[in-house]
Amino acid sequence: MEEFSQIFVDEASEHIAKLEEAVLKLENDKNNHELIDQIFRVMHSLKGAAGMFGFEKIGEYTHGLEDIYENIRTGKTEITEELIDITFDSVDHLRNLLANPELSDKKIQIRHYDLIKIIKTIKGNIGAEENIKNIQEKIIVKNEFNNNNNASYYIYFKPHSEILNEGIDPLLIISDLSKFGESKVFKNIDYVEDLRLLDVTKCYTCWHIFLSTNSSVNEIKDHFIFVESKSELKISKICSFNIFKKNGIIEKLESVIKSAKNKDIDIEREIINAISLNGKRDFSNTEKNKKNRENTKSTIKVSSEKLDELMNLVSELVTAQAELGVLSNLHNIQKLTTVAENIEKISRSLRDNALNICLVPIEEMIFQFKRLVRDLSNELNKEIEFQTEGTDTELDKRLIENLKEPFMHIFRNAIDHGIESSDERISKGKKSTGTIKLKAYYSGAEVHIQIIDDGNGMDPERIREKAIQKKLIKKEDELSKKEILELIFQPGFSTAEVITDVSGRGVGMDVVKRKINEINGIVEVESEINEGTTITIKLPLSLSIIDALLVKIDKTPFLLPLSFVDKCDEASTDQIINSVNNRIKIDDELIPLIYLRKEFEIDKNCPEMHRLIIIKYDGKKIALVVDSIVGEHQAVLKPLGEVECKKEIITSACILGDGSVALVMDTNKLVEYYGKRKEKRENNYYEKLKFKL
Amino acid sequence: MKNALVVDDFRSIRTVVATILKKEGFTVTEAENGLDALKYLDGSIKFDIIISDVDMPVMGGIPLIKELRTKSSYKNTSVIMLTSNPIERKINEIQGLNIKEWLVKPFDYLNFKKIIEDCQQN
Repeated sequence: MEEFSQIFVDEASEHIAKLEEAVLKLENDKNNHELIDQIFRVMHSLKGAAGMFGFEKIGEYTHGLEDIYENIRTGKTEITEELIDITFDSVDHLRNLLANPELSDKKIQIRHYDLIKIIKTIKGNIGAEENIKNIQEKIIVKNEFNNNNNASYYIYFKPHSEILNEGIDPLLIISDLSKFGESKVFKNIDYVEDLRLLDVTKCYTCWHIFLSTNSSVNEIKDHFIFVESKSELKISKICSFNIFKKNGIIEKLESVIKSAKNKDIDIEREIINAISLNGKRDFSNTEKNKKNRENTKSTIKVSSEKLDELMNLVSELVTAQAELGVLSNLHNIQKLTTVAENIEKISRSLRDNALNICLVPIEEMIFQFKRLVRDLSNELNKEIEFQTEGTDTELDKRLIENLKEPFMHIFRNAIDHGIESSDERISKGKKSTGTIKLKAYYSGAEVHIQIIDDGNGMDPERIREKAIQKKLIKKEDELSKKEILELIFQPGFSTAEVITDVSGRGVGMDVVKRKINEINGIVEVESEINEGTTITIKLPLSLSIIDALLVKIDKTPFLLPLSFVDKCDEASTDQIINSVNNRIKIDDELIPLIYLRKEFEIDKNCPEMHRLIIIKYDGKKIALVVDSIVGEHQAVLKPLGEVECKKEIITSACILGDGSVALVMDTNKLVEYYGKRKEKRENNYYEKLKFKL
Repeated sequence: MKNALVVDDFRSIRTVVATILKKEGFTVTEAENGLDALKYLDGSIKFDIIISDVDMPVMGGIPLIKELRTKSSYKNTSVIMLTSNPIERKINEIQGLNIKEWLVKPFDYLNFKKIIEDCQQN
């Protein structure tokens, strides 16, 4: 089984993430049966599967929740805020249990039993008696078991005081336990009242039971099924062998029980300690420890620096490989060519792997924000809907790590200062529920992430006043609206009149800006009074290496990111110059073209045939006209720094195999830049060209 | 070669069951739910044993077995049901379905193996 537990951990994590998402949705849509069904199913499957892979605690935990959701599913009860809260807590707790199945962390252990208790009370409110009736109608399917007794359990059973009045004999239940295997029972009469106060019809006794069996926790639990809902029952596996076959353990356990008295939680730990101190280390425990170590091995945390270094080395390798490629072409030695091609293949997959390590969809961090929005809006008593778009946009893991904090800040601001209270919103004629939207998309070599709220927006006048007051600007300074809005990024600027716990004091947008700038990003803000605020974060696609198409215009090499290239075609110069409205017919489709020779004002060595690179821009096709296509190239992007060039369309540079430098064009920006320009020089240029031809 | 069909919505359970079956010399086909399983039942492989979870999305185990028994070639095929609840379904629902064995999750590896062996002998 051990080898499968990692598969289970992975799958369970997926299910828990789905669970969290479902609960978030359920909160806004309490009657959605599909969601309830989904939650029930996760609980149900987790319960069944967890036990198979040695995560008994998860099985034990989900059991209660499953019952509650079953009741909701069948319409016996309704969803309450309390239930949603506990389900959220459970999501967190289940994650803890996955990482720490043995509850070795004391805090988690305490939390575990606290939560189970809460779940039990919720469940108790939901017609326990009805349940029992239902159960009687159903059949009980039982497993056979043999007498290997390969595990020992500690059972703490404290029946509710009215159990005798209900005609149930707790002693019978306990003596019946012997059908599971060998057992030893210790009574606990600490709860028995003083003789004068004693009510003979009530049950005061509780029992500590040690049971060796090869039945599972759930099977033992089922034994208590008729009394479980009202009684205190705790069943925990203490080791994977028969404690009755080892000398001295029972005596030790007896003393543990006697000394521990009423401290229930400690007993379990003491028992496990007592067993392991007995000199015979529990086999399953060491096995579990090994598994824990393996778990940590399979998901290790690596510092960003190490990843950076790896990426740098891969970049160097790719550049070196390009050189090798050029050399092998030059010398044309069969063996060298084979080696060069091999190295190219390897370096390519190495590059892809290295990049992949660093890339994660931003979805991963969005969950936290969903939680934040939910918790904060509850706290501040605001109705807020959180929407997302483009969550599959992938970003470098390092960037994501650095983004969490600034994003939290922006969200806090939006919830605290941006979105108004429901009453205020209604009086303004807005929907009573505010919206915060996180939208992510690729824009050329950048990823843009926007946080859009439809709150009360920012008042430029107030910002201006505040800035003057804070001596950030002078009274006579004239600023555009954009410049005024940018002031919120100045250190020590905070417009909230009342400082709340939520958005803190003073440390505000300046931290956001600094953090984003640190990772080469840009923060922009747009805001309309009463309409809302949009904060846009533009991040470089930190992909420092991309697949690109190497093209030439005259003798100058250029690179186009291959991901934007749809297909390549060709056309004669004549066709291009005589095109109507700058459109050319390709595959029966009229596609607008951008003649790069013209735009770059290169008129030397015009070839007779031109190559068309059809790229995708905003879902449409656009043809870029170049002289020739050299081929695919793995481009290691180097920032241009202070070099003077058309930064609007050129994002970076790349060193080619022969040592020359090629500029990398941003196709999106290229289209925007040249698409907007009026056809100023056009006629002029063509006249000149025709003259030369 | 013996063929087995494993139906469960939980991937890890399928993996475990499939691994045990493979060790027993079965060729295993995995399905995510009842409907998925029916596709395979109509396919070219004739399964010698079917192991199915009870509670699954889209189509559960009981409707699957009901459907299965209507097929002439599967009238007497061994069926083992997996369940998380020992008290899963009402008696009348499973009457006449000729279910060989019920296994309560978490089930024991040796127990499972024994049941498989029993099924093969018959």
